Amino acid sequence: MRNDRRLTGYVERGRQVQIVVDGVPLPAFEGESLAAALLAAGRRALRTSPDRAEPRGMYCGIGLCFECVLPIDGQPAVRACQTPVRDGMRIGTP
Amino acid sequence: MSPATWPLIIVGGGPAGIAAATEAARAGLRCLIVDEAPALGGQIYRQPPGEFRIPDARRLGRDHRRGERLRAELAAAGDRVEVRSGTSVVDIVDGRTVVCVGPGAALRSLPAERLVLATGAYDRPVPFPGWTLPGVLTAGGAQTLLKTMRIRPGERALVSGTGPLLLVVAGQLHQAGVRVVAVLDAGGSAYPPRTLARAWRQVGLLRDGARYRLALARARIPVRYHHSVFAAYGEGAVEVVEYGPVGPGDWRPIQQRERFAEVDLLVVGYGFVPNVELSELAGCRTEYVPALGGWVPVRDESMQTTVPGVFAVGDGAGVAGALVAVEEGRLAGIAAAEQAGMLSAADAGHRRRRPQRRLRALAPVRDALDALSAIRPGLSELATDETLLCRCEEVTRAQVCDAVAQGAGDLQAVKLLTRLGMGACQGRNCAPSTAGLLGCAPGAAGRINPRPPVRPVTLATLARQARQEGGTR
Repeated sequence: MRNDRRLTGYVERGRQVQIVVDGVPLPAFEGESLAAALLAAGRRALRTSPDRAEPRGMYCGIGLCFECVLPIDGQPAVRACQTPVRDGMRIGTP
Repeated sequence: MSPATWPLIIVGGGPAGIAAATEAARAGLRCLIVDEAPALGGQIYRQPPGEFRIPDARRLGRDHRRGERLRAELAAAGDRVEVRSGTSVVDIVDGRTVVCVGPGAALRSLPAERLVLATGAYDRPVPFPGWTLPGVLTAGGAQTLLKTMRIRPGERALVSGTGPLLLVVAGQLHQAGVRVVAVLDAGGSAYPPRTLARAWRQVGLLRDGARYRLALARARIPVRYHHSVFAAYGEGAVEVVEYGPVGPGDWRPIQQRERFAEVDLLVVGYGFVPNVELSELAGCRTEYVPALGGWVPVRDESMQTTVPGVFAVGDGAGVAGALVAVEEGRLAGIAAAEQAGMLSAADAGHRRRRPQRRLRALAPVRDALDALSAIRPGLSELATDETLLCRCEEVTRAQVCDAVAQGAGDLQAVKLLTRLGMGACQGRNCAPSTAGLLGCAPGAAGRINPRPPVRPVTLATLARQARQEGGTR
């Protein structure tokens, strides 16, 4: 993939898979967390806060802050930073 | 086959947990490591995912090698250790039974005769205007993306916080091709000659920091001491960061001398806070020790908490870094094996000698590091009335101050009046900073009591469990 934020060298990524974000297919690699795959594609904002409707994205990256939660495969509020991508994974409202 | 009651369960598979399991297994004790991550290593020794291939591991650096050495030591200790990865502990009941959620969202109760809690620490939250914007990442989060996921978290970055870890993160960002505009350290120049001389041989972090300091100098990346981020601005994500000098003694922001930098990434790392929820749920007494990051379980020399048979080790029991964590883990593993009758007192004493000696050797460096990076009260002035202190429930500083004016004297009262700390993070990201606003010593502000489950569990998972148990518990 061109122009994304994946670093080359040091490691070879896993098999390429496809995830579906708000209906749009996005390539990712097995082993990547969903948060990493989204950031690699340049998506910093992941959701809108319920009260003040402000943008939020990954913050702690280690599963503690719950800022990166997204609806994943119909399950609400799953931590993107702790969830490995899977082929066909659907993110967002269907 | 897994035993009905485990002789030892270790919560957390970082350096402390791995070392505890290694020593326990060497003494013949069967044990189980429960860890939230996909593989052992903790935050510091997190390895690239198993699906990635690593043609040349040497290029992954010193931390990778240290992690590999620990994992190899554990593997050599035999097959008495079982590991459940991808499994979150959500509660500890009756002092000794670990309730966890594994892959497939199945809830399990695992009784144990003894526990080692090696739960690690997280980046200290410091609220400032704009800290909730996408593109603001903790130092730990940035390192996970760089080291584990091998992803560049941004294109232009500012790094702000305190301590030598900043230099390490900035160096890693630079190596990954991120343009690092500046590194801002609220503390003073980190290396008084005597500290450095002592630390040089012993503490990897200082040494790594010093090496990256040179690399940053070569790349002409400025490191500004007694400086901090003041605010972040942007439409939808970080675009501009405002920063400037802070008072050298109290770290109070000197707002008149602010500057601006256009960046798409702001990395913040103001030290760490121990994860103590599970110690508290296990019934361990805690105390407030600023030098160790805040609330920590009270322990004896064998790393045992006030609950017999429950040990707490590593950064989750007091922030002191990975090298200390390993030795503490060893002591707990030895003590657990001794309690279980697998080691004689003499044999245990003999095995304890080396970790004890190493902890003594590390102590002076720890003291020096503590003094350099101890958080100063001026940082709490970064937040304005409109700044969110509680990210989950979206509670502003003004709302907290109102609650205090109405008579809320501790965190529990602020929680009841404002909902601060009631969200999914359970107060981890608001309690440390809010404690500083209550007009009392942070230790007197009390705690936001952890409530199980300490990680959200879906109702479907709970319902499945209830069906399996026939509604009893």
